[in-house]
Amino acid sequence: MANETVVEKEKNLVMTRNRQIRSSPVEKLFTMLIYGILGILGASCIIPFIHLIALSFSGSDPIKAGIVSLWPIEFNTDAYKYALDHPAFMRAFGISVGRVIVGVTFSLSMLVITAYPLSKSKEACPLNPLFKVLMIIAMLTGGGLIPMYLVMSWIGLTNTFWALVVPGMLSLWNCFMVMNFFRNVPSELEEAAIVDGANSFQVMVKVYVPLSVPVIASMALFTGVGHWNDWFSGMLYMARSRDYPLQTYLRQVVTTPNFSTLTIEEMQKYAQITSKNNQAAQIIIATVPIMCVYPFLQKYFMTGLTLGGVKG
Amino acid sequence: MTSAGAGTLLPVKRHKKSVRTDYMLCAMLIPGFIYLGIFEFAPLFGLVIGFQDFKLSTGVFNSGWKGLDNFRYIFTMYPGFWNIVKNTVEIALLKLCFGFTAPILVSLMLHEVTNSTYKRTIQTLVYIPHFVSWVILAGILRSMLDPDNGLINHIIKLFGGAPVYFLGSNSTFRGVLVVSDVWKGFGWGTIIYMAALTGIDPALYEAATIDGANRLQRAVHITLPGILPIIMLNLILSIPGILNAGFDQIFNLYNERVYKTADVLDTFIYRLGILDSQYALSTAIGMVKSVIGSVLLVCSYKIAEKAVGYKVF
Amino acid sequence: MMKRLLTLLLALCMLFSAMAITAHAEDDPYFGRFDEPVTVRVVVNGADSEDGSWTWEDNEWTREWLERFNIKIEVMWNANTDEAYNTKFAMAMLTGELPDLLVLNQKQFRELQATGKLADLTEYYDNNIYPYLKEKVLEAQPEAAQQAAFVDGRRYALTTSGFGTVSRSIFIRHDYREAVNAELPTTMEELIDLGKAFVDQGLAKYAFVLTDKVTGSGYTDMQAVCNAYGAYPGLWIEGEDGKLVYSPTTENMHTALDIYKDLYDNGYIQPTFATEVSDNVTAYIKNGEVGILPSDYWVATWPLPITTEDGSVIDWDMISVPGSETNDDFHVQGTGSAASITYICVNAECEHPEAVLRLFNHTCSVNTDPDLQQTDRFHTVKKEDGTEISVHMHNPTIRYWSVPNVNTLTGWAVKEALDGNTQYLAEQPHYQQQYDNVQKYLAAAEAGDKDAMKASWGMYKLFGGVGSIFYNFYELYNNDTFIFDALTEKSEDYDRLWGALTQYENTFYVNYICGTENTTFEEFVQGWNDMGGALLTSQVNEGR
Repeated sequence: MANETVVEKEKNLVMTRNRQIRSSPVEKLFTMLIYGILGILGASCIIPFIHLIALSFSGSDPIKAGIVSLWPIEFNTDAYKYALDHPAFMRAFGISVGRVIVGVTFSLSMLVITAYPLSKSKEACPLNPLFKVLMIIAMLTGGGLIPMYLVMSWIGLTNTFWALVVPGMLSLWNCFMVMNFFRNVPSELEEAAIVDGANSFQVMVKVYVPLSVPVIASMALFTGVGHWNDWFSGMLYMARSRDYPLQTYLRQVVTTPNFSTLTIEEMQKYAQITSKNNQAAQIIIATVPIMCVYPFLQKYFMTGLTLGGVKG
Repeated sequence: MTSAGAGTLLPVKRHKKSVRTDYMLCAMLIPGFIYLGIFEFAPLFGLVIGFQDFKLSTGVFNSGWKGLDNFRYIFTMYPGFWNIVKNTVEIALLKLCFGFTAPILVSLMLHEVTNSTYKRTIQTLVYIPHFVSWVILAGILRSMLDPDNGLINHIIKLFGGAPVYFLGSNSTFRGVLVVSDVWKGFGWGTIIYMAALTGIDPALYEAATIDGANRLQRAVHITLPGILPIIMLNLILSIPGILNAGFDQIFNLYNERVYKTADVLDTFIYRLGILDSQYALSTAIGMVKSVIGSVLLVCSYKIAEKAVGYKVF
Repeated sequence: MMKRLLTLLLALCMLFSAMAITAHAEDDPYFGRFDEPVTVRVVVNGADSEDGSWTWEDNEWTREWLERFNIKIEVMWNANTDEAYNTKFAMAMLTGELPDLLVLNQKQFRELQATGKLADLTEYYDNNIYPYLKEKVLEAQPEAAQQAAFVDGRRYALTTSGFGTVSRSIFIRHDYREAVNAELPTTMEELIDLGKAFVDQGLAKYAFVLTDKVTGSGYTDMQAVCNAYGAYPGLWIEGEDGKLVYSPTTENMHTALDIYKDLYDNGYIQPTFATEVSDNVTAYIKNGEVGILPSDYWVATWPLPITTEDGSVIDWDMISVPGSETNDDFHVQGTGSAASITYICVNAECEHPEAVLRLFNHTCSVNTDPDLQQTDRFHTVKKEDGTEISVHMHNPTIRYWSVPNVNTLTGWAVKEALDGNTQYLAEQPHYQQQYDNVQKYLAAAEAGDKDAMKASWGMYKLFGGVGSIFYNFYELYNNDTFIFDALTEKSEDYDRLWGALTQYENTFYVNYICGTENTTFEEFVQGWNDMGGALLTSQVNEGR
């Protein structure tokens, strides 16, 4: 709803200005210049990935010779076959997908259920000021890795999947964004629902959440990308390397081991998993899910992020 | 900017009647309180490590006390510490300078684009780098910047230049840090400005055109002032990050050859704490860093409130 | 009558004692079976299998242990990189959730011992360690390493040190050397000139290659050249006044660095070595871009040998590190330090320390003892598709119990055998094994079988008699050319400062060679001392 309005507005704006543009030669040149610069910037953002795709489909000799640029040479799909035939890689991929789904669900529930009361007045919810003060203190401080691990160990989360999704479930900054977004939802809709006999939880679910799709979608993408890209907590909290999420698994592929302690077999295995086209293929596979999801959520960014963060 | 769409359809009335305490709202905050208690406040006791002669086997409760010795050691004796502080601030400032202006310029340019398909395509493309982890980007950069067979040096050679060893030289490494950081973030940074730009009244442009203003003049006199509050706000809010020069990026890109210009507080804390097991020292540095960060945060939020009337909390 | 009675009694006694022995055999202190199932908890520094064909809990080793000893392995956690392992082990010490079997460094050992977390192994050592392991492995360690296991006269660890008569070797591409018509170099200066000649004649691209780890990479680093000039990266040595001094801060290091700087300035080393990883070296070797490798011995088996297009092996000559014409401080540095011993310990809470030792006994007997040599199933297993997987890596405890310096000794034994003195081969399974490998190569060479030659080329270069890498080491050792780390104990501030000092040192090397910074060697030494080097030097000299 909110989103449509912005798009609408943008259209109006463009139309208005279209009418104004006189096509003097200078203006035309100016326009072309802007289109050109933006085109180059846009290309700069995609070329590295095209290069990587070209590498992943190329033979290893042209890669070593450094002649692969944007098009595969000695085209083959071995690197992808290698990755997809590889139970360890696919398992890590699956764990990452699971982590994103569960993590995003948890985060969003937590965000909404916390931001909603906070968006209300302190008369309606007297705990608000206390909570906000605690949040600010929490934002300003941090215990560091060791105490955090001890806490996780005491509550029994270490060595479980939950260690990946529970800490960080409530991002304080995101919570403020959602809270501010809720505040901009007109109270009349809420009053109408209350008249119909809904309690505040029902109001939140039936009125606020549907109206807040942009901010919720943006938050979903943020937390999802965060979970997808994180490698450290996988390493720290997962007991078995077979339960590592994808990025933690990929660390093994991109870091160099200490050669003097490796056996001959280990070295050969290392040489295989780190060959450049295998690396490229695994990176591409690891990046694809994000590339698939984000264009669908892109339309929400503008309303979701700005209305939440900056009040009018 | 105005509020969400519905707000413009319905008249906003502020009711003055007294509001009763809603216990359900209070109940909804319980998970939040539990979360804060466990994951934000319980670990804070760990800061005592910074004042201890901390050993893993004796743990937080049984290690001996050292008072301020750890801090004294870092500030007065630890070799190269002040160089690391200098690096941190310099890198962060450089990134701020360029990373801050780039999205503004790009937004202004995007604003001039009238073909909406072109505009959307460009927007989609420039957001992409924001979503890729530094682990992966570092891999891509390494291969692209390789002096022998990297793509960039191929191009340089094509134009007759000598290959540049970007990641291995103190004179170019920071350049790579700044450019890659700006590259990763500039597209994403435009979102907030693009949103603000939609809020500018088209009538202003019309009036200016009638007055005979050309496009550049319109951009300078209408567009820019229109987003100035957001620019100010963004600037102020990025001050607290001055001690965060970007751990993930630097950690994945640096090497011993460029420690002199690239080692920053966060990479140093990591190496000291995890790789050298100097938990007490690294906690102490972390504490100093977060104290400075907190002061800056509070100050900048106060300034934001005073200068542009923006209340974060 | 009395006599007959006595005889009967004696016979009965003998019968009983025989029965007692039989009963005792079931209660074998080294390889006996537990009546009740016993669980041993371990942590593993290694990834799970890539293809899911085995796990750390369920593989050839653990199945054998369950059947033979009634011991079950429980893996508390494992890690896929060293970084992950170290981080996780630190966290395990923090929470006290320690495994039954602990592999520790000196610092960890002292901390855990002081807080009573380690089992007293004194009696277990006497009663439960298989004699072969005790005699040939543990008690063959240098005295300092053995003594480190004791605290107040009680034994808390089995200690192994990395002490080894192993150093760098120089590999020289034979065809290149022939092309420039040169003899094998006898001094370091000649070697460097040979490297330059390879480049000048357009055979190789670089005289030497380096990677980001300029010392201690083993693949190809500065160590050999440093040694020739009497500089020993990473080693404390005794100075002329008898005091310990850190070798890289001596003037000899300056000389060695200047040589590398000169090579670098003239384009004889890759301009980009500082960001290159070991992986790149493989490519340089395979593409023939380098003709001299001052490297660790294993290079002979990987990435060498390389082959020409017709499939024949490109030969490399090998020499031990030569001395310098201008400097007589030359030694070659051996590995290991009394200060960096591996402590193998058992958790104090472990109910059956002897169970852990039983696993060691078994691993050791499988890997080393010639009398108890088991089937190959613990080394390699052929899969259905014909590929071999090496099973010894699946052992979740201590993968090897290597006899100290076994490779150097093998170099000697094989050389003796090739001279006709085959009687020594029976002393160690390793001797016979390598002798067979060398024979395989010789047979293949005679038959002109290129594939077979390629397969056994590396082993031949390592152990094939006079001129082989390990026989070279044997000779160097007998000539007293080896030098070892003189540091016996890490002082109070050692661990705290060492990381930063090493980093500073490596950064300096790289910058000095590249000329990216104008730090002089004197300034480096000054800086090193200021950073705490001076403090450590005085500390390590205090206890002497």
